[in-house]
Amino acid sequence: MKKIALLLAFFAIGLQVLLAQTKEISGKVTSADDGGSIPGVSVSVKGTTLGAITDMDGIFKLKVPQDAKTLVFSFVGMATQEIAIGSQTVINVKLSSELISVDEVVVTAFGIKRKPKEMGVATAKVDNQELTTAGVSNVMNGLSGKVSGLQINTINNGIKPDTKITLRGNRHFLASNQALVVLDGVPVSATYLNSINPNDIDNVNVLKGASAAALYGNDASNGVLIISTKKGDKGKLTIKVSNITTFEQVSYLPNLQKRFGSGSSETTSNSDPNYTMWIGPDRNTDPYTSYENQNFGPEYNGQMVILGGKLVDGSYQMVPYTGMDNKRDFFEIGVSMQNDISISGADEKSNFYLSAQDVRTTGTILDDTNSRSSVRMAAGKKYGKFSADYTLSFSQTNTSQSGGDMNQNRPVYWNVLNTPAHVAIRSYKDIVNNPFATVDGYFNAYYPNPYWQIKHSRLNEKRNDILGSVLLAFKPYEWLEISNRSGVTFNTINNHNHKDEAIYNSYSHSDPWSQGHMGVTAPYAGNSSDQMSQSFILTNDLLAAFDKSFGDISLKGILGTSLYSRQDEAIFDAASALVIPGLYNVSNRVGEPGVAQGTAERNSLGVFADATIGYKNYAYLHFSGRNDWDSRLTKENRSFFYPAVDASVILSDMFPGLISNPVLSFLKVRGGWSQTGQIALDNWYGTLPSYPAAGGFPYGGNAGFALSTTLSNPLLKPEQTVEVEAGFEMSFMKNRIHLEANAYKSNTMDQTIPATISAATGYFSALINAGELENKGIEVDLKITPILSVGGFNWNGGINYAYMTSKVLSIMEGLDEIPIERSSYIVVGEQFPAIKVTDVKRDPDGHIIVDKNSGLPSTEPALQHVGHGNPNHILGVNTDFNYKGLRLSVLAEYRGGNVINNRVGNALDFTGISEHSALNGRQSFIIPGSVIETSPGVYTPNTTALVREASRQFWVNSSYHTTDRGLVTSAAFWKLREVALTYDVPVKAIFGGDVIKNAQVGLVGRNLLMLRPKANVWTDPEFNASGTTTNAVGYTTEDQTPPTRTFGFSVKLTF
Amino acid sequence: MNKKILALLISLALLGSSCSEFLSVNEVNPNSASKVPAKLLLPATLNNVANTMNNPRSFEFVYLWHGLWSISSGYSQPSGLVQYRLLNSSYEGAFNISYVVGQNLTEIEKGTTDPKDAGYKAIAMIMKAYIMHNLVDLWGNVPYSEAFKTEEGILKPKYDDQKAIYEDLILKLDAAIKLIQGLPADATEIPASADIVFGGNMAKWARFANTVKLRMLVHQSGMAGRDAYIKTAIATTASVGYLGAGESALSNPGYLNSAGKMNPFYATFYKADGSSQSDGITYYNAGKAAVTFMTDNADPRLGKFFNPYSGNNFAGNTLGITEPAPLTAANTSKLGYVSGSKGYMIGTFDKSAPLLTDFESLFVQAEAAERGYITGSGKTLYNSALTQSCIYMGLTSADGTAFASSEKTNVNYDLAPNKINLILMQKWVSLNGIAPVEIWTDYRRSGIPNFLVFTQDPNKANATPPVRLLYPQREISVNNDNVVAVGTISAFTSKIFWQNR
Repeated sequence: MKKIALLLAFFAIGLQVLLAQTKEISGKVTSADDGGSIPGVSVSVKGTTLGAITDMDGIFKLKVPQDAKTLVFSFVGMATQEIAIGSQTVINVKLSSELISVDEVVVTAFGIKRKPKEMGVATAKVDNQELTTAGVSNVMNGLSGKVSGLQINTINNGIKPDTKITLRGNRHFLASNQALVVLDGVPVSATYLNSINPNDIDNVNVLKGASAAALYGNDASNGVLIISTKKGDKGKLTIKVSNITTFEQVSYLPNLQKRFGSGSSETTSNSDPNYTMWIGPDRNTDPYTSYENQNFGPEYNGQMVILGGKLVDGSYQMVPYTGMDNKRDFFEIGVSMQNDISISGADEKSNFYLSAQDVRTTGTILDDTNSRSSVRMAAGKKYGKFSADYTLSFSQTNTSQSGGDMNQNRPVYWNVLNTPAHVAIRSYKDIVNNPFATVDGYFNAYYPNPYWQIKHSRLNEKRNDILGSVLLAFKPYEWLEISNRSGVTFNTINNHNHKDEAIYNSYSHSDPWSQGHMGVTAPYAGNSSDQMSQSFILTNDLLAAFDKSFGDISLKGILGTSLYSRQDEAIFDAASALVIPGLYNVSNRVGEPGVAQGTAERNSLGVFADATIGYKNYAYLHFSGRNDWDSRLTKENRSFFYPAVDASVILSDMFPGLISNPVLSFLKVRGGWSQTGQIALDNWYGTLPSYPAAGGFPYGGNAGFALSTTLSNPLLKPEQTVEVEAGFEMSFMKNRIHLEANAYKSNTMDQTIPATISAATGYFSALINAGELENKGIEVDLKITPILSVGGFNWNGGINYAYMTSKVLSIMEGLDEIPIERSSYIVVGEQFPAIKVTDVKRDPDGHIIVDKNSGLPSTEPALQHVGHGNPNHILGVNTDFNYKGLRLSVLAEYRGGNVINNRVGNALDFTGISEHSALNGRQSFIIPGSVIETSPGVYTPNTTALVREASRQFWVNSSYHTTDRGLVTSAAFWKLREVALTYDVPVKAIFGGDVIKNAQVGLVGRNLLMLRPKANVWTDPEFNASGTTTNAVGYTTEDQTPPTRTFGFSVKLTF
Repeated sequence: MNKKILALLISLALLGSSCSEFLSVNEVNPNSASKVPAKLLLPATLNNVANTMNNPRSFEFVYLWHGLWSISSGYSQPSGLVQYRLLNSSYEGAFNISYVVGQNLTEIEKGTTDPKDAGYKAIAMIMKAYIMHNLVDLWGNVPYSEAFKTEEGILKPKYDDQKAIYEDLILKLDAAIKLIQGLPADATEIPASADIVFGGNMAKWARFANTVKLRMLVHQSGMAGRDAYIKTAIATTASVGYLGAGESALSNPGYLNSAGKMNPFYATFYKADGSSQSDGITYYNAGKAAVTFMTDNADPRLGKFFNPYSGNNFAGNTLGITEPAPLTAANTSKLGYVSGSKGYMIGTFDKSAPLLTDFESLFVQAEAAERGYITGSGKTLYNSALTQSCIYMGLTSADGTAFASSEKTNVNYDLAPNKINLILMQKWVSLNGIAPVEIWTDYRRSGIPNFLVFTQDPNKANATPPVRLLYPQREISVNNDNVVAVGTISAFTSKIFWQNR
């Protein structure tokens, strides 16, 4: 009894303690402007995650600890207020509107911070939360779809996806169109973004047009991404730990047929008694060919057939002649594990941030791996008028991918596509012990086992990146600051690629199946190559900044100098025939080694001035001017001036009457003009004549050199981009709705073109300045916060849309077209790049003209212009739902207006596995909509001329196959880019909050869905076979594996 | 404070003073020279010409049309060739590369103003004449007077009259010979590493120049009223003489058994490790006309030009053959090859590449003698040509002598009813795989051999074969006004000026 009493007492005390620990506070939040209640205001206890949201009447109720001191009231578009609790239990608050809080700044060139309202040109900011919502390991992927006018193209799949990043489209024909990336004030190459831990990024400021970026001088014409990394936040030591684990799965394969098996006119010899050679009952298909890669054989019927041929020991394999989904089976589920830890802290005088990350990824192709380990430290300290900040980061990325095969150097995917559907591809994984998986035993006579290739042909890359920067500032007066930032980036990339020797046994070498087995031309010598390259970039910016007000006039000015110096080195060696297997060293070879070496340096200096004049905090005029001297051009042409001007007026402040109505709460108009230049010389010594070693030389003791076939041009100038833009920003309903729109037009002149010239000049091409490209566009951003707010439920949404178009105004006299690469062309009067493809002959209405006897089309000699490669419309839609720590965010993106040449379809038709190649059951057919030319210029619908060779002959040899028009489709797509469901675990309630301050768990997904026009049965139209360095787009091949979707979970803990 | 601003200004000034050095880093290219002496340009230039002339794919149409080679039955017959459907892009490589070579020769000429270096200049002039007359033989009117003039701002050179080009080249060859004859006693010696053809022997260069000149003049022998011009032109340099037996112009930079460093003809067929290139040896087979002609004549070189398909049996196909059915790959001879042996058509990785062989020179001289252009015995020159051809194909001088005296009317000079016909038939079969442009030129100007079938394809675009190549696609694209100014060009009717039949 006593014990029970004690226990009760204990409970009572405990209860009392618990009761004593919390109290309820309630109140109402109203607008200081009009007195109306404000729903959706976030009310939180300072320094905790405890909080509530006001209801539709602006009322909140919140249980707070007894010792809670301060409540924080915040709402988008309103000034945040902190109220001391004291002994109050009812707290009514009036919030006054403010477009953006005082702390909010736009970081522009050289880390210059400007208030958004001063900006006369379009900028956008993506913060860390937006960037990392879907657990990306790559910064670029996290930006896609989030900013109007920003286009991130993931041009291939794989463990190290290549991305291309452009702002407001392509301004240059052949020079790079990639946006300039500036990390903590240091310009870095766009590829460096693959090396950055996205969790280290505090925010990304996007300067869309050249105007905002003009101060960066050369390279700024493509817009700039300014990335700021995290610094310690004031308060206690914070430790964050997170894990993100995602799985990658092939999502969309091309539409394939599983109805017809292998055959390609050859007959199967070396047959076994069990096997009878047969052809399809209709005799339209080719006979079954046991070793064939092409699929023009008989229809699948389930009977047992020999696959491949007899091995040297007489063994052979029999398989059911039944189609399977073997192409999909081939691909693995990739796994990516991202582990992060960061420690940060700060006080009034100093701050520090330390982080480490490890990312390990396996790909959808077996054995493809990528790992990245990075560490980063940043710290700052103030001593009175001085302050010093530094950052230092290091990352190492190791990548291993499969290379080309030994025979034709084809990618793995090609060899998978050339595996007929009755071949259980995964059963040939064991290339050592399975006699039917070895080079000799594999069924396919013409293409090797992809698993052999995976094991024996590797592309390995190790990349090290070091980036460091030091910022020293001296602020002698409140109005003057002198600062100097030095940055160094250093990276090394080591590639070690090899392909092992493929030796066939003498039985295979003798071609026992007697159909030109690839073993006949064996041995395939092993080869290896190494490339080591390094790049060192030093930048130094010295700035003096003034900030002073004179009555109604405010004046901000900046004077500065900028220095850029870059040194690149590369060494390459290759052994084309290795001797000792498995030893990948250039000394292990016969014959001459391949060697190459290059070193290059370039320097530039700039001086600049920047001034912003403000009047009464509502009208601003901004000028900037920069002069560059760049070593890449000759003395006469190396100096170049970049002027820019922009202005903004906040009409709602200028005429307060405008916002006296309850709808409009903010209105700003703005406009800008700029002129920027870009030096487009891949070869930094391109103004000099050059005599490289002639082909084949040296031959032992004989050296020989020949003049370069490109005529050097000492008169080269930078390309010039003139851009004008205008826009407005409006907010409605107490800033709940924010709308921003811009229109721009840019003209890039004096484009650097390696123009093809008559060989009779003695040269094949000459670098010249000529041509003009015009870009126009509109960008619209709409944010609604909240769309709906009921109780604790909040729904926000936003839309960003960009319309872009371009027009080639001229190229050079007498020239109205230049090919770039593959299907991409520069064509006067058209958008850039124009896509031109081969086609079959058509009548004026576009119907295919066929021969009245054969039913076959013929090739049109002239290329057909079918559209352009860059999208005209990019639309991003994002929305998020929040309820008591549970948050669902969704981002979808649409692109359209452009076309794509799905050349992968050519590979599928060649091998006979495309779905459409089997639609007629390999029977004779009339080409739909075809016409016959009955007399010159007279066409009648074709109702009689059948394509009799409906099988291999048509899909492999006809003009339909050898031309590309049938593979061109709209490149439009909708993608569900990101879906993330996160939950903030109420750790305080569970654990008391002593150790774990925050905990978040989540489910994340990327690219879960893709919608394409029906005609595009091939692949992701975002892909591009031409790589990230050329401006050629709109072309896919079997070098890009099928698109994938990624999904997984995340756990984030804050201590 | 003022001190600090002063320090800042000083540091800015220092920065400024080192600017010019800082900004001049791209004025010297560390990766490749911006000027190269003739000694190092010449070998690359000679090698480039030899590579172009000896790449069988550049001139496969000649070998295929003229019954010397055929395409294996295992491959589809290329429709452009079997139906005479030449495109602007067909075989344009030689046009483009020749001008690039010409630019390098121009650089040599410009860089050798010192009279001591006249030897280099002479070689450059001779080689320019060599490539330019080939261009005329293939394309007729071509850019000449405005070619290689980018320094004068000419990016679209006009096309010159082909006959005028030929005549000017003759004068240039004369001038080159004169330069060689007038070389000072202390003339710069041209090392063998630079002169990969004659090892610096300028007398041979003079005879080579004179042989090229004779070849060009003999090309014009069918033209009406041209004899006086030809004879006068020959007479001016007759005393220099021509390339004689054993004086072949062969280029060899020091071929190595390594990818990209082998004899270009060999490299088309075999790799450094001895394995075969794809679509090389399996693609080209023996031509029926050549196999038949040589078999009929019991030619000892037959087994050198072609391999027996079995035992001692040789057979060739005709291009575009339909009737009778083509021979299978297994029953057709391949191009002559025995690993490691130079005396076969394909030869070895280190076999020298011919620019102009001694036996071609002798055939040209024999024809010139027969036509009364030069003194000397046609028979002696012809017999010497056959002997030298036999030696070139790995046989002996005795084999050649025996062959020349065989009782066949298509071999024996005395028995042949028409000497020119005999010389050109034997020249045709001797130059197989060696001098494709000459084979085509000889046929176009003479119609010899008269038994060639060219192609059997019934769908050929024209009854008679093309007489020229079409202007390259590149020229159509970027120099079209000048191409158009030449007039309408037909591959079948726009003959080269020396063709008179």
